[in-house]
Amino acid sequence: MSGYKSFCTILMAEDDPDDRHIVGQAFLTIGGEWDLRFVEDGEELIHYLCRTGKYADSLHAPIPEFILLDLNMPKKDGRQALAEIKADPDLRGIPVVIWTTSKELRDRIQCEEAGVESYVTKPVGYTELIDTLKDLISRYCLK
Amino acid sequence: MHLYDFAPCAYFTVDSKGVINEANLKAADLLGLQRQDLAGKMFNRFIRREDQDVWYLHRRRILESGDFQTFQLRLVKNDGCTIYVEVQCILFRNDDADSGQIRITALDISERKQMEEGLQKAHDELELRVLDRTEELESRNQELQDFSFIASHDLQEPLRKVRTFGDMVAARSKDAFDDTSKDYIRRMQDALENMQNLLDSLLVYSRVTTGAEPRDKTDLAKSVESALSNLELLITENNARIEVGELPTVDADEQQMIQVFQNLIGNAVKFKKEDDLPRVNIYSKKAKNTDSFYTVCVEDNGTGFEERYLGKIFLPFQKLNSRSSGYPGVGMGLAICKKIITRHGGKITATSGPGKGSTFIFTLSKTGKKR
Repeated sequence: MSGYKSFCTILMAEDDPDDRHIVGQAFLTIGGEWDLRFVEDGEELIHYLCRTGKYADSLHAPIPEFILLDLNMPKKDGRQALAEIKADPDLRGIPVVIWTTSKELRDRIQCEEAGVESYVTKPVGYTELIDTLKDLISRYCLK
Repeated sequence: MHLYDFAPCAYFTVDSKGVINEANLKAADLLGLQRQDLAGKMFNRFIRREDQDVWYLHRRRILESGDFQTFQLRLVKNDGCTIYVEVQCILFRNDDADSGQIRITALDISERKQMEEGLQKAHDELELRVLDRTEELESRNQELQDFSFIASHDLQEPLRKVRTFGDMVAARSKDAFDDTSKDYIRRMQDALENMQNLLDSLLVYSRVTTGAEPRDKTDLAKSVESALSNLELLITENNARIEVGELPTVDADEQQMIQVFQNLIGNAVKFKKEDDLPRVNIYSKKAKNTDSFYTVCVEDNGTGFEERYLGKIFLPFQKLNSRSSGYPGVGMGLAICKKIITRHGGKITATSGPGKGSTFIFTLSKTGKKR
């Protein structure tokens, strides 16, 4: 992957270790240097973005080029986290990509109304998944 | 006087205060008393407490208006038993206008009442049983809905992961696997894809009744247009010719109408004859003003089927062709159509024959209401 910012930070909020692993592997397959970081629920995501709690040191929480956000997570779910990000003038500029199993039209509409940049239903095939991620990178990580 | 005494009907003569002046033998018999026990007693003494008001009301009315009164009362016999009587009263005015005599005939209708009550009780019990059964069915239906939704929604997650990891294994180990292993992996992936399709269509099926009630004015010609645009690839790939005749505007859920046409037209193209280009005609039969239904037909020149399978093809997960026949699909298309049409108060059927093409015919209520 050339023509993109080097060492882009991509932040994924995902409670499922399998899905974190799959996306991690996909970035390895895509190649290039990515700073892929994970948080495990909406609460941790907000801590990361606001640099509070264990993310108080900004070195541990570089601002991501985009956020991959799962909808169904414990503590604070993706819908609520999305609403908080888009309501915060300091955070609303960060592109958010919903990354979910939900095919519910209602979820999509709700997220679009909240101002989400992209809404992706987790691709089933690995090749399709890689293509989708490449597409997101080319959209949000251009130099 | 003999006529009065021995009449087969109970007579009471009551003064304006409600005191019994006279009673015949039948009246005494009715209450299980002697005639002398009745004279001088208040008539209401023999009326059940619950019916006292009825008596007072009618006594007042007859004294005020002089109009003939007829009503029913429950009387208490000497032995404590209750009897039902039908009462008729007429007023005999004395010379001084204030007083008068009320003449009462009382007909024992206990037997009829008991029968009526028995009938009412049986009716009530039946109603209750119907209610119970309806509730039971509704709750079972709800359970089934919930199950279908959970099955199709929550099972997607693990299924997706198995498929993705399967893909990853296949991609990583391309060279390490021999042909047989590769074949097994491909079969696994195919089976998973099939399961995914099953769950997807189960989800669509379970959602037919969870959506909003059908209310909108829907132009079926537009629904067909949308369905055709969704099927564009299939239609061009198969060189199918679709002709659309005049179609009505109905009260219906637009998305569901698109779904019906998409499934029917999709089938028509899918089950084409090998040596013939698929042709599909969509039209509605002219409805008379007196008809309460529109009839819509989707006719094709495809393979057709034996009509003895008509009962089967509209059931969920039913296919007439074996998996190896090469026809894609999980056998939910027509079941979904039927559920949608039934929900709109219509019916769906088909005429066909092997090699003769098929015509799927459905009706839609003109008013959009359920029958």
